[in-house]
Amino acid sequence: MCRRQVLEQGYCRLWRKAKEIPWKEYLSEIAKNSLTGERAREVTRHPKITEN
Amino acid sequence: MKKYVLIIAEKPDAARRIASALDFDQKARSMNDKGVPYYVATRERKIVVVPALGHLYTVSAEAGGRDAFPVLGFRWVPRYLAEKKAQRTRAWLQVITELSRDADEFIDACDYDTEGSIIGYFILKYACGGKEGVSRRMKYSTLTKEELQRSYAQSLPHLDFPLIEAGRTRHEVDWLYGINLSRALTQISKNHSGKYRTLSTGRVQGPLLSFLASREKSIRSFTPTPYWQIHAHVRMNGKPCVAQYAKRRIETRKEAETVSNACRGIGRVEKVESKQFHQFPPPPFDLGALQVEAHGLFGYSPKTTLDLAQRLYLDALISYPRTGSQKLPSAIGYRSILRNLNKAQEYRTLTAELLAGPILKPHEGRKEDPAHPAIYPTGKLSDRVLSRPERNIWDIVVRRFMAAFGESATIRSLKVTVEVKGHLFYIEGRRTLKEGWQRFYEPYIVSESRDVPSVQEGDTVEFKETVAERKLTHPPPRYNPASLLQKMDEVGIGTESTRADIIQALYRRKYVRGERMTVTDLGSAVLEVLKDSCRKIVSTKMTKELEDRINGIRLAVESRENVLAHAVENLTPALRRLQERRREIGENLSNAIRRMVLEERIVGACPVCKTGNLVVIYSKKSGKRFAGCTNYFEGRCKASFALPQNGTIGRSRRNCRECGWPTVQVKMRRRKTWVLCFNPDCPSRKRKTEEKELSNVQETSS
Repeated sequence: MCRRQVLEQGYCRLWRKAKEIPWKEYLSEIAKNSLTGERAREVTRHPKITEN
Repeated sequence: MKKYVLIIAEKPDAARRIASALDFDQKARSMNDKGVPYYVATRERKIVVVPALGHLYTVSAEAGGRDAFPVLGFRWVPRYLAEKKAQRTRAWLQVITELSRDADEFIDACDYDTEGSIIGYFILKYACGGKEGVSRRMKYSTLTKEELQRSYAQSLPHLDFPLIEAGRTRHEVDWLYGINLSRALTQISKNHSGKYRTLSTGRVQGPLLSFLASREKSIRSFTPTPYWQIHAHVRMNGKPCVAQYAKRRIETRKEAETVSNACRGIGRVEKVESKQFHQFPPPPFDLGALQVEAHGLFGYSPKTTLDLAQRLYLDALISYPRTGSQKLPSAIGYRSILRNLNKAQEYRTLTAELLAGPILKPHEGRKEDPAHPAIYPTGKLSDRVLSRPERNIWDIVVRRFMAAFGESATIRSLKVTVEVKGHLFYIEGRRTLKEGWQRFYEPYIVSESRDVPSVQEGDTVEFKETVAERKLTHPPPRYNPASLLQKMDEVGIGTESTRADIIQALYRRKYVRGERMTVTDLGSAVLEVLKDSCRKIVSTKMTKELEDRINGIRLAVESRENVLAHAVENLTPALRRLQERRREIGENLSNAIRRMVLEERIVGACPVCKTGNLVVIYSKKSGKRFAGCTNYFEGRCKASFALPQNGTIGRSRRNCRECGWPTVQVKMRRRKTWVLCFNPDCPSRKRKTEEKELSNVQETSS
């Protein structure tokens, strides 16, 4: 899964709206969640992934 | 010599049953020639019943070696010529040919479906010397004496040629796809790596792998999102209940907290809605439904269920299981089946209840099969003690059959709407008023009852506690063999008889693993190759289209030649593209195979360097095996551990309970599986050594 997919599918928007948390925290929440898929987890670990 | 009637049956057990049923005294003589059993029955005429051994003929390449591709020319040959493992069938064909010489009447009594029709057709055509045109056909759905006698007396005047034509075309198309694509994948990978590994795909296997891979992709790229659900513990009419907030899914924490904080105190009943509805009995089983139910209730794979059902059918306990029908025609004799089942203690009360009714009319499903009815019990009770799994399958078939004759269940649902501080909550209840058919299907159905205290509009409700529960969305579930089977049925690929085998082939080829099917690297690599080179081959649309055209042959609206030409038309460009891209494909497949082989050899994480994995390695010098760290090859870790030289080593699910080091499972023939901890200083190992020494001392002293 690429970053574009993350954004297009609106996961980011939904999560942040739900929890009202900053971007970095959002990524770390996803990374440690057991329901997150392997590829999505890899994306969160990518050094170049930014909020915009 | 006096001439006789030669009957061809599909399997030895079926041959024995047919011969016994047709013999005047029900005591057919059992004969044997070259290890091939056959039976002689006496009726108005002498009857010889000889069994096949499943398919005795198969499709084979007209020319070229075992590795050549593309192969587009084929013919039907005896199986022993095409398959090394089928040498036994040589004697079988010899015996049938010899028996056919003194026969003047021929009857095909193989199972009345596509496969059975093809088996009988090729035996009559080749082994009996062109008797397919003069042979009659026995049609039956159970191996009971009565039905076999009837089907012999009323045998059809000729074989079902359109069905045979459709069936052989299916075999030929599947062979063309399977042999060419599988050989292409296997050869390309072998030419690249120098190592042989069978890779296969097929007309149905490809799309199936595609379903699984697409689901796998969704799971792997899934990101959970939070949501909240609110429920309240309330007291209504003096009794405690749980009320659910009307909005089932709240997207933000803020909203959830606002609602849960507000909804306290006293609420008021706004509306009380009561509905009564009827739940019809489930239809009797077709094969797919039986496989799904057996998987859900007992965890049997579709293949296991089919094998068990086949055994019950050969024992004449149930009707022919490879059916797509959900219909029970009255000709099967409902009353007589129930009367016979009444002899079994466990069904006595239920069958008596059904028999006491004036009319027996089953609730049927929509699906039909021109050849067979739904699966039903014959009423015969087993002469032998059934194994637990056989018993389970028989029991659900019997109970489902009885349930089909039951009355509808009546269920009442109640929904109470409560308002508190401008927010709405629902309290829902459900009660079964009349069990109807459900009683017949116990213990496989549990009627769920949830009581709600009786209230009226305007009554007060005390809100004790309101809870906002944080939840997370879940990824789509993985397919299991049963849900995959349902999916195949839904999209209409494969046949009732072949679906379970195709799913099994995915496991055998190591394209998937686990009960919840996970696509392996190898499975993904094979699919990617097929998608890149011949997307059409893995598309459901093409498979379904071919399936429809094959069915068209049976209905005489399509010809075998057209279907084969269409298949070759699709296949040729795909094979050309595979050849053109062989270098790249070879590399991808070889890498996937290498990764898979390595993964299979991993027995746990290295406890020394903590970054590598322990793999089973065979010493080139001694040929002995041991566990070594994968980082050894990069000079980063020298950890190695001794392994037992006998038995099978398997990965253990958890680390050692006593020291936390990785463990392996050791399976030895005729011995209990045991767990070995790698830690040489582990207390469990020391204890085992001491116990062994002690028992040795005791043995010596005694």
